[in-house]
Amino acid sequence: MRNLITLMLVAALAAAVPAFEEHAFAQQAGAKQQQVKLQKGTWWGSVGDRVEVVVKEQLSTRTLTATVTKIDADKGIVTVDAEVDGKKVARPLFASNIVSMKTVGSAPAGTSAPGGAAKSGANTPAGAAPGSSGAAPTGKASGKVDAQGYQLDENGYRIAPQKGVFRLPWKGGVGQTARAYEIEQVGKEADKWGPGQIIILEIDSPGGLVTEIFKIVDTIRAVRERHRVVVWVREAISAAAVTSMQCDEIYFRSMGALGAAMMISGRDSVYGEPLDKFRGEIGDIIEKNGRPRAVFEAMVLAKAVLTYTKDPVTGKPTWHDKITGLPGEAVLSDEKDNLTFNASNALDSGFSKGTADTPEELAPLLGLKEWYEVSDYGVKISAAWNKLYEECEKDFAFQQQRLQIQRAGGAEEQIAVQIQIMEKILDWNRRCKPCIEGQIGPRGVESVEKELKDLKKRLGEMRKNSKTSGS
Amino acid sequence: MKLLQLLAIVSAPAVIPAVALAQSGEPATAPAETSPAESSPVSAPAAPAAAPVKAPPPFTLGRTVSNKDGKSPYATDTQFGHPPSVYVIPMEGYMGVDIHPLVYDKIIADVKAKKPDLIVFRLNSSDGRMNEKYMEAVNEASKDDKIDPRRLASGITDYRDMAAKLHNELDSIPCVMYVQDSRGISCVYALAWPYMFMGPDAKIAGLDIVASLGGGNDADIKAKMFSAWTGIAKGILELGGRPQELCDALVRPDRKLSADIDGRTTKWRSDTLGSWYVIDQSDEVSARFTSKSAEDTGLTDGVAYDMADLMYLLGYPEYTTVDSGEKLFRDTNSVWRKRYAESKKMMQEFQQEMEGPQDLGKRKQIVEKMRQLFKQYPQLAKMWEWTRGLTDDQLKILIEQLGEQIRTYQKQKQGTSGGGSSGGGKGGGGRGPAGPMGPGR
Repeated sequence: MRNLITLMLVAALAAAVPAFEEHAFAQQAGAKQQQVKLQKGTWWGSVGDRVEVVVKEQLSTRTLTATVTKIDADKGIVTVDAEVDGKKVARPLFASNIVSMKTVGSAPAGTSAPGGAAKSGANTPAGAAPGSSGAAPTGKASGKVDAQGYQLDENGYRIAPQKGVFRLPWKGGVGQTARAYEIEQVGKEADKWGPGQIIILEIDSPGGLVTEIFKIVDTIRAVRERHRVVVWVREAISAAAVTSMQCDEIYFRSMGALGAAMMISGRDSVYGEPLDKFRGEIGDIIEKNGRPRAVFEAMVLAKAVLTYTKDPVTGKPTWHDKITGLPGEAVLSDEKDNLTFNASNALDSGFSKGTADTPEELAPLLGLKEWYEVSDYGVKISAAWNKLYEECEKDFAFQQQRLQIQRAGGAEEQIAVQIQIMEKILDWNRRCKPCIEGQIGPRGVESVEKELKDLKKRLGEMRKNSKTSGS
Repeated sequence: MKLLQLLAIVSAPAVIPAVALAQSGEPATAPAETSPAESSPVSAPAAPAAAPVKAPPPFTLGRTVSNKDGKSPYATDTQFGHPPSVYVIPMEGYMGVDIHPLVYDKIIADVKAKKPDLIVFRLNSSDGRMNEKYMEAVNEASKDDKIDPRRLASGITDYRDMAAKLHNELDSIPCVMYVQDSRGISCVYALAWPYMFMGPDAKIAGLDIVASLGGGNDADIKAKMFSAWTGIAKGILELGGRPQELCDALVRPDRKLSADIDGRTTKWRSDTLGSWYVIDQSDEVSARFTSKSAEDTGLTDGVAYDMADLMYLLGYPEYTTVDSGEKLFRDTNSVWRKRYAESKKMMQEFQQEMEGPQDLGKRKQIVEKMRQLFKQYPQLAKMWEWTRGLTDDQLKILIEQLGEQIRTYQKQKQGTSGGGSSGGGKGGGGRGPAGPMGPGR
C-alpha cells in the first residue's frame, strides 16, 4: 500500500521538477577546461596546458611533451604543438589513440579559452561551479579565521591547502540509509569553501524508494548549481542507478555494477500511469543531464533493447534501440533483460568517464594532482546515520519477537513488558524515523501509539484492581 | 592443438632465439630490451605499403604475458635475479564460510609483513553439486551438513568486496590464480585474477542457480533481480579483465558460449557460431570448463600438476615457498570447525527430551554458550545460519524465553512448597520472585 502511495506521488512531484538551466558540467559550452575521453579514463585541461602524452603509433607507443593548442572534445581530437624527432610540429591527436595524458604545467592566465578567469588550481576546472551565484573563492587569505579556526579568503570562504574533494559514502537502501538529506548537508558543508567544489557520492546501494528519488533529483540539481557532483560506483542498482544519472559525471570501480531500475510495488512490477510518469519525468531529466534516454529506458524496461556502435575514428558511441547487425555492435541489453552496466562496457560506451579502484586512481581522472579530502564531514554523517539505522533495524526485529514471549508474572507483567517494548519502538521512531516507518509505515506508528495508550490504561486498571482485592 | 598454435606463432624468424631458449630448458631470462616486442620504439614505418609483421611478446614455457591487466607473474617480466619467494593463499571449502574475510584480513597483514615476490591463490571450492540438476543439489544439501547453493550465492556482495580488497591490497605483487576445483559461486573467484592456471582435473563450472534467485512469478521483477544479481557477479569477473561474453555465459544459464581463435587471441561469442570451439550450447546450464577446454580456448594460462609445475610454467625452476598463509588459513578454519562440531553436539543435547523442568537451566546454559560461540566465531554463526537457519537474534529470544520458563517453574515450586521452604520467596505467599522491571515488589 505504501509503495502504491509512493508511486502516486510521482505524478504530484513531477510538476515540481523544473527544467535544467544548465547542462552537465562536463558539457558546458565555453567552459575553460574541457574533458576529453581517452582510451582509459579522461583528461581535464585547457588550451595552453603543457602535457605529457603517450600516443599509440602503429606498433609502438610514443611519449610526447607538448602544448595543447586546440581541443575538440566532441570529435575527440586534441591538437598539440610538440617536438617530434627534433622538429617542432603541430599534431592532431585522436583521443582514441591517446594511451595516457597528464598535465605537467598549466596555461598561463589569459591564454586559455575565451571567457576564463584565473584558475584556482593547475588541474582544476576553473569556475567549476556551474551557474554559481556569488563570488568565487580567491584563495587569498584575508587574515580572518572562522569559529572553527579555518583561514578565510577575501570573499569569506574557507581556504583549503589544496584542491580536493568532499566524500559522501552513500550506502544501503535508497530512502533508508542512502538519502537526499546527506547529499544536501554535504553540499552545505562544501559551500563553506566556496562554489566549484567536487563532491563524490560513493554509491553502494541496492536501490530503494521511488519517493526518495524525487527528493534526490531536486537535491542534486540544487547542489550541482554550486558544485561538481560526481558518482563513484561500487553498486548502483535500481533507484541508486537513477540517482547516479543525476550527477555530473559517473566513474566506476572495476567491480562496479549500475542499472536494473524496473519499478516494483510490493511484489508486483508497476505498469500504466505511474510507470509512464516515472519514465517521462526522470527520462527528461536524465536526457537534460546529457545522457541518452534509451539507456534509462533499457534499465527500466526488460523489453527495451540497447546496443551501441562506435565511430572507428573518433570512438564516439551511437546508441541503438534495436539490434542493427552493424559491424562492431555491442549488445548491452536484449528483450529479456534490464540493462546493468559493468565497468568495462560503461567505459567503452562512454557512459562512465573512467574506472578507478582507489582514491589515488580517481584523483587524476577528476583532474586533481593528488587525492585530498577537504573535509571528512560527509564520511562522518554517513557513518553515524548508517550505524543508527542498523541498530534500529536490528533492535526492531528483536523487539517484535520479544512481544511473543510468555511472561512468568502473568497478565500484568505481560502487559508491562509489551508497554516497555512499544515505548522502545516509539523511541526508535523519534531517533530513526525512516527505519521504523520503513518497517511499519506511518500508520503502523499511529497504531503502536494507540495500542500503547490502551495497554497503559489496562495496566493501570489491573493494578488498581489488584490493590483493591489485596486490601 | 595448442602445440600447433604455438608452432604457428614461433614460425616468425624474429622469435626463434626465444623459442630455442625455451626448448633448451634453460632458465628463461630473456631480457626485455632484447625481445622483439619491447625493442626501442618504432617511429613511423619506413614502408607503409608493406604489411607490418606483428611481433609476439617474449615467452618462456607456457603461455606468455599478453595485454592483461595486473602485474605479470612470468619470469620474463619479473626478472627477479633470484629464486622468487612464493606466498600461497588458500581458498578452500565453502565460499562465505571457510573463504571468509576474517581469514584474509590476517593473511593480507601477513603478506605485507613477509613481502613475497609472488602470490599464488590456490582455489578449491565447490558448491557440492555432483549432478546437473539444481533442485537435486538443493535436496542433497539439506540432507547433510551442506549448504544450499542459494545461500552460498546470497553472499555475492561480500565476495565482491573481499575480492576487491585482495586486489587493492595485494596487486602490487604479481598474483596468479591456481584452480584445483571451482564449481558454483566460487567460479567468480577463479576468473577474478588475470593470470590463471588449472590443475589437470580441475573444473570451472558457472552458476546455474541464478535463475531461481528471487522475483517470484512476476517476469519483470525476475528480469530485474536477475539483471542486478548477474551484474554484480560479472563485476567480480571484471576484476580479472574477463570479457562480457565470457562473464555472461558463466553467470547466466540462458547464455551460450563459443570462441573464435586467432593465434593466441581468443574472441568469445555469445552464440554457438564460434569457428573453433563451442563451450556452452544450452539455455539451461551455464558454461563449464575442464582444464582441457580451458587450455584449448586460452581461458587458462596453462595446466599445472602442482605448485612446482606451476612455478616451472611461469619460468621459475627454483623458488622458495612462504607457507604462513597456508598455516593461518588452516589454523583459523580448524579452530572454528572444531567449535562448530562441538556446537552441533551441544544443540543435539539441547534437543533431547527433558527429564523435567530442572533441565531448563541446563538448556539455557547451552544456548548462552552457543551465543558466545556465535560472537567469537562469525564463520560458525554463518554456518549455523546457512545450514539450519539459526541466528544470533533467535538465540537471544530463546534465552529470554527459557528465563521466563525457569521463573514460571520457580514460581510454581514456591507456590507448592509454601513460604517456609529453603529456596522460597522472601515474602512468601505466592507473590512471585520478580516483576518485569526488577526484583519483586
